[in-house]
Amino acid sequence: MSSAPETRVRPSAQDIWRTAITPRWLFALVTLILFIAISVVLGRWQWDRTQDILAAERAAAAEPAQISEVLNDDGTWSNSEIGRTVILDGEFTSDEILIPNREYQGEPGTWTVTRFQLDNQASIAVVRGWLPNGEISPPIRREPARIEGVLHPSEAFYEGANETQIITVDATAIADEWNTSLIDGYVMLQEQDPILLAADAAAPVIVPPTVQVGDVPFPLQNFFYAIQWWVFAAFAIFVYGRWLYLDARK
Amino acid sequence: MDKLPGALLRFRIMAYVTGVVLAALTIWLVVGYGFLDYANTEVKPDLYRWLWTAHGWLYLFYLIAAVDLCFRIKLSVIRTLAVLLAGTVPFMSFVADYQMHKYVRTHHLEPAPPVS
Repeated sequence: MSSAPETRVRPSAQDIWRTAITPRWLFALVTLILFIAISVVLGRWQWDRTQDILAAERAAAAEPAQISEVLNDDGTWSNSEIGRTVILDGEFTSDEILIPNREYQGEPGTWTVTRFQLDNQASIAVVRGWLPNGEISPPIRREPARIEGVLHPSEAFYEGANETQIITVDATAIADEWNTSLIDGYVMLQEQDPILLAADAAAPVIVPPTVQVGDVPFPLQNFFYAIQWWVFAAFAIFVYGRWLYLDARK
Repeated sequence: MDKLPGALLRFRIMAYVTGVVLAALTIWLVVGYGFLDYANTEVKPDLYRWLWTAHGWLYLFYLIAAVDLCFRIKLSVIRTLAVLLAGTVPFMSFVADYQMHKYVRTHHLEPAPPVS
């Protein structure tokens, strides 16, 4: 700018302070503080929303679902449901098989797999739990029950693993053994009500699910909104400082 | 003042980019909530959500370009605040860009464009 005289010098700290305490700049300061307060509160609100959404999504993912909600019309279920806790209403049957070579807390043993018949007559294999080698699970009373477990895909260690003896929890192989049809995959029993053992003996030990479910998606959008509010507040401080500096230079 | 054209150009780019995104989002919002049931969050497309987040960041760059230009041409505080807020009002950033160029021209801050 050719019209501007080149006589301006860097204002001293005292000049800036004297400018800052004029009524005009005190008003600007109040406005700035108000803006910062609002930005911080709004950013905090978006931050809390981020946490709330995360908590709600995690709760929804952990929420047990009725098996009927998980199953498609043709009785299959999608891979996204692996690890989902499902509720089954129906009854255990006498179809049972022991799957060998299963350890629990360092001890060798077997998994007891029993056919659970749902109220709609479809069946699914349920891993009732673990027993040490040599022990057999007590018989089961056939009466209506509600059980809760985690949905797993069929085990498929290698081709032909089940040719001579069933050693994997594979719905197809087990269905052949029982001469019935099964929903694919299996359920790892976690909760059972009522306890259905006929004899006064120990039930198989309920084992934790094999599959581990990944975390829910992070609500990045709200997280970014939170950050943006705080950046705006910092930006306002910069603008205030720059204006004050320019004004003090006059 | 040879840096002024650069500041003007940066502001123009940010005014148009932010303005176009905000205008598109405004139309999308009206159509979405008016006819496509966006109140039901399941229906809202991801692109729509992300564009709003993107606008937030674009607006930040708009602010930087705007404040830089306002400082250079020594615009008054009230006018500067109006320019800054224009980035949040649909279609207003185009007006702000026009007004800035007009202001610079009428105050003879810009050297005459070279004759081509």
